[in-house]
Amino acid sequence: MLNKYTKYTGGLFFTARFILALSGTAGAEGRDATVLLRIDGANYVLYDQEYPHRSRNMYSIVRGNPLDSFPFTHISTYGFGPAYDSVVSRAPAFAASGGVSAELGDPLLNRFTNSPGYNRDHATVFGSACRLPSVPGFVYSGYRYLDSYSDRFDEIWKKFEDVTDRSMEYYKEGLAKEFIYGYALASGKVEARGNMRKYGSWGTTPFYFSPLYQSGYSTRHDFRVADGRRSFFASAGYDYHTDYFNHFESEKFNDVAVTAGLQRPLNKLINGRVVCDINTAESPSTKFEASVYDSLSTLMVWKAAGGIFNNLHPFAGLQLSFRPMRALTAFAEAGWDYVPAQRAYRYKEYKRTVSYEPLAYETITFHTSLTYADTLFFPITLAAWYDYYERPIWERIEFDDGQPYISQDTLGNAAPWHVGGRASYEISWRMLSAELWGNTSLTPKKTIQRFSLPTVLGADLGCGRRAGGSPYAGMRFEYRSPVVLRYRNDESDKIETFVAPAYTAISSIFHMPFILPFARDHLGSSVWIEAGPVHISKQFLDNPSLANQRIKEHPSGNLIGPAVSVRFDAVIR
Amino acid sequence: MVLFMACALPAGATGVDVILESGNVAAQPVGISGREGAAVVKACAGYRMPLMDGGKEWNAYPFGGACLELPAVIRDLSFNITMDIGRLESKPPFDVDVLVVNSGLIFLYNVRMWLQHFSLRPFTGLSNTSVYLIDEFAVDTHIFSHSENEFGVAAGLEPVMAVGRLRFSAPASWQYVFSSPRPFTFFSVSIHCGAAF
Repeated sequence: MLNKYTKYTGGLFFTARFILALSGTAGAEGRDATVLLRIDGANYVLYDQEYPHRSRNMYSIVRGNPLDSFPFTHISTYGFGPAYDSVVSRAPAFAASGGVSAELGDPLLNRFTNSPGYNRDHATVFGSACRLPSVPGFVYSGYRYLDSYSDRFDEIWKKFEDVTDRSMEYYKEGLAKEFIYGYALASGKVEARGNMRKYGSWGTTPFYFSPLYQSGYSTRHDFRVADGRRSFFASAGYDYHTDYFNHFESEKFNDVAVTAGLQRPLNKLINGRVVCDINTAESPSTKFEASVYDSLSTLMVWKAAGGIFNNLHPFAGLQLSFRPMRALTAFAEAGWDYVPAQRAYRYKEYKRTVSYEPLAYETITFHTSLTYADTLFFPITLAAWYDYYERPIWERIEFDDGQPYISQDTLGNAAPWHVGGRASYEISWRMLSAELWGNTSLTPKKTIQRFSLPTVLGADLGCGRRAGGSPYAGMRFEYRSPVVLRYRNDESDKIETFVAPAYTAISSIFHMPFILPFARDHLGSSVWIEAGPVHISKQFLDNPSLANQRIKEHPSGNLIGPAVSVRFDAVIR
Repeated sequence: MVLFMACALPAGATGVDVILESGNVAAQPVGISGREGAAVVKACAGYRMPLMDGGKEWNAYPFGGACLELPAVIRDLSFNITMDIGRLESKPPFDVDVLVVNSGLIFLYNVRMWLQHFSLRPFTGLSNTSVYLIDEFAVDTHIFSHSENEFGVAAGLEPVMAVGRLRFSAPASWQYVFSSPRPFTFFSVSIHCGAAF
């Protein structure tokens, strides 16, 4: 569904990345207090420790990766990327990247002499981009097949067949299979980009995390005309998809998302912006928003916004950022938000029909933070924050005449606020580099969070340069505290708790360009090898084997073990 | 091993001798026998022996294949793409006969010796062992759905002799395959013959 991952659409435009841009820190996953947790080889949740209510893919059917930039994941390093400013004249004429990855631990010869074991399925990803000959722009294409960490689904499908006497269909398509073709153009003041996509993917249902298949075609086109501080922008997307809620009969949907807006200066200092958003996958579907913001001041930046939905529900917000010195930023934002509801549906959990009834709701939010980021003398970043969300949303399973339905609601003792902090430190010496980071958060006593990931620590060590045509080798050490997911279950009259254990792991990456002698001036190639995560635990150290390497990253996800990924890149200049 | 190979410093160097900067050729690596920055195409034949527990259940088997060697951007470092095929037979009481395809991405470091046409190259890299699961071998797209493969690591030593464009080498390698519940280890010796261009 379009905008599926943007649960927080109540008008507050202040994203974590905007805040980080003001404070001068890098906005990378882990270092900016966001953590990507795998459920399986194609589906992830993105938990935000600083703004938990802006975590993505946390409710309803979990599908896809919120940080996915396919097919630009690897070719963006050559200048081809999803953002408007990636249409650069220094990009090569052509770039392609293709690779295969698979979890370790296939039985192989053990099939013939020992137990057969589970087959570790693989993932294949390919992306390419080609500059247009006389027009400033490029065209691109991508294909991927993702089926890693799907053995949990294999077990569910087997159980489904035993219980219902029917086989689930489309499971041979992998967890996700997708083709995409697109273009990007930039000429003077006009920029445009768009794509067409054919896809099929298995998401996971709420509460039970069992598979649900969706396939379809989508297209999206963006357009922008900018002239200094004035700009006009518009985008249109259409998604025709088929959902198999009971695994056999299909329901077809046509989702349309349209955005149009205008930005212009109101006077020498202040800019104004009006935007209209329409998304038929949500209810209410239409939103009008007007905002004003200070564009020239460096000491203090402010932004005020307000708007209304087509059900006449208003929303408003204010953001202030004060920067008394180069390295110090104080930030505060307050909002009266309204969050639209996703589409309701009914799905089959084996033989039982379960309804999902999402909620549109309003809430008061407040966030303040203090950040120290010195990138000049001592490359350290320190930040502390307080975040308040009046109505933390939980999913709860209730029963009406024995018929289960999952609703969105809040609990009396749900934690409405939390405090937290993060720190990162980066150092480099000649070819060597090291980056350390850590995030932590605390909630008030006698309250509980629906999703909890208190602490993340990490260290990246590298040799060489990661971008460009140079060799690079790196290792990442990462620690996460136990991850807890809670649901309210009215059938048992208790809160169900699912836990993923603490996680300490090492991953590595290696990049080596090589020379093709027959066209060395025009052709560049390189190989990437990634391996991990290798989990470090007492159990593994006592008995090293692949069997005790698999642990969950998400409390209801598949077991995740070490994988190896091999990728070749090719560039024509 | 792969990590440290990338950071290897040739004697007397102040840093990694990188040949390419953002795709521009600044210098060329020195290959043996004076042929600099050359690619080499080789044919290979050898013998691979399962070790340890695998050696109790499987016989050693001959294999044949091909290899493409390309210079990497670090001086004296080469990159090999290899593939060989052989038929692996089990020992009693098992009666199994499977086709095995072994592939590899191998990095070799050229240790220059006092002999002009001879060098010794330690190597390490990633391997991929593919086992064909059905009896009848057919070259079609179903080879992927009828086979199972697993990554591993390989390391060894390769003495190389160059005669003009020709290359002759006899690598010995040890390979560890990450299969489960039991990993496999192999030791192989082979002869490679090829030409540089």
